[in-house]
Amino acid sequence: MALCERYAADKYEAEDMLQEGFIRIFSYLHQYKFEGSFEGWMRRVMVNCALKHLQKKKLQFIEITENTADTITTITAFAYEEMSADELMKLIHQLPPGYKAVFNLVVIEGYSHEEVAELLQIKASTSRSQLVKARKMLQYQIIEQQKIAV
Amino acid sequence: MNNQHFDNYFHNTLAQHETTVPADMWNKISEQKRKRRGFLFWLKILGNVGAVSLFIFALGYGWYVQPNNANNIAEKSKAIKNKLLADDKVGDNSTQNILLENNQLATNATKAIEPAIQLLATNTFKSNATKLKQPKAGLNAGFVIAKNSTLTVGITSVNDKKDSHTAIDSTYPFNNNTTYGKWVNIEQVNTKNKSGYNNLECILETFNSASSPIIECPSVLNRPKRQLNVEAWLSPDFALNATHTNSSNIAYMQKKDSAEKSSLSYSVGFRISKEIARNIFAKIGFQYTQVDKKFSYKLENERRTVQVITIRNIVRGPGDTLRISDTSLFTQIGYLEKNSINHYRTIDIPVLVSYNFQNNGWHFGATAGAIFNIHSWYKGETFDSAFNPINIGKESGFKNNIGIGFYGSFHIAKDIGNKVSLYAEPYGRYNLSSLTNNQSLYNEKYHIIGLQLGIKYKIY
Repeated sequence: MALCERYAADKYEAEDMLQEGFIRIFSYLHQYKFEGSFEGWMRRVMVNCALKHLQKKKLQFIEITENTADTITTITAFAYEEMSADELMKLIHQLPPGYKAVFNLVVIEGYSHEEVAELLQIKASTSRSQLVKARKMLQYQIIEQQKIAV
Repeated sequence: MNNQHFDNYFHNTLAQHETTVPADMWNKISEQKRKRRGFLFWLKILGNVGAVSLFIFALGYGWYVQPNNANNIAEKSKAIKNKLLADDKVGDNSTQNILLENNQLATNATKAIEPAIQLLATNTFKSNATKLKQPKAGLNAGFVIAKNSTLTVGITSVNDKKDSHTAIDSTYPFNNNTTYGKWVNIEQVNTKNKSGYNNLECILETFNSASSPIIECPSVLNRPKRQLNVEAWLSPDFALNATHTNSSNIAYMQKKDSAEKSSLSYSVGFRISKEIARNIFAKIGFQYTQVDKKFSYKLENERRTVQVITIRNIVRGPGDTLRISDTSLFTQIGYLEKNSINHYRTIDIPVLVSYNFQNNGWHFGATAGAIFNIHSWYKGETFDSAFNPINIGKESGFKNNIGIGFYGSFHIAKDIGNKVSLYAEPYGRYNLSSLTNNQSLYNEKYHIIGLQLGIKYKIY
């Protein structure tokens, strides 16, 4: 469920993804070749399903002009190491859909940029630039939150 | 390095992060899985029905084309032909009456054949086919021999009452050495001539072949093969709706009518057509029809939560600017316009009769019959009595079988090869039954007009 929530815009969309993902898992169970862990296979199916769901909504990789990127120079580890999983999830949710998809695939799922390019039908260079910008946006949000806390 | 640590923290924290799954999620998955299984079940049933139909068809076909060994007139015909070739002489004249196409009666076979040959000489070789009618008792055979610029026509007949056969032939000079004729079709016409014999219609078709001077006429002992065709078609359709309310709720029907609009639909299918009498075909097949309708409505009092992030810069002193982001949630109330396409799907078996005639490779005809529904299913929405959208289906009073409909069409076809032709068939389908039962808020029928575009393959 958490996997779907990371890709979805809201809880209801995540439920739809999960439902569709399980249907696919049951439908294509015979295609599992007992190579690698079953959990990993299920995870891949679920990710593919989530991406397909997003592609139906015409996921766009737009370049967002930010004034945040230049202001971030460094971020220290203690700025985010105390943040809980739910707080990180909230931060990811605030990312634009394209940033969110690439960040999830590369950082959380561990896909390479080439694999992401194939999955999302974009260029590997686009995936790289989206990841950089997603990371900067997250760091900016963390720093801003800290400033408010101060 | 910083970025790597940053990414690792996100990965380690979120990769195995779990959240609560809604309690009814498994029920939803089971329900959806059951629905899909239902579709696959029907697909398998249809596959089995198709396989059994093909098996029965193949069995019937095999039985039909089995050679008839009884009273093998083909052998007799061959023996007579060999005798004529060996002796180079004519056989006995028959005293039977021969009815020509122009209804001319002759008591002498030679006299009767003479105009027939003249008919061939004057007409047949100018066109591809000439019809020649000959009265014979039940079993007949014939052949045409063209040898040394001479055309020999031989006809054998067996009078089943007298259990005897005669051979008649005539030899005529034939000027065109490269053109020969062969009997391509001999079929019994269900009329009797003045002598009480059944008329047989033979079609003599000319062709050019200098290397085949002798052409054997097929025996007519075995029943002439009636045509057997397979047709596959696709049709863009338009559905006409006939709806009336069961509850005298006029407002409901107005709301429903304003929400629904017919859109382009389609049918696809295949048929097997068998010639059961001259120019008359029986057709049976399998078809899938999908009627689509646009369904548009507004959902009132829809609430939407919008997140607004306000960023402020607070200057606390020279060089000391604090940037603050405020996040607020607003709830907006409005209406939501929803558009969907309702699908009304049926699988049917058409049982039809068609009358066809042809002219120079063009076929024209009319078809009528009944369409038997096997199964109907639906996907989409309609209104309940409070104008709330509900799914169409069994729960909302829709039937799984819409019964029988009438079918009528005209068609035009063009041969594009010896066995293949393309056809267009504008048609109409009138359904007798409603889609909904009496418990539904309304009765709804749809009728279809469409244009079938298909390909016909002549098996024989």
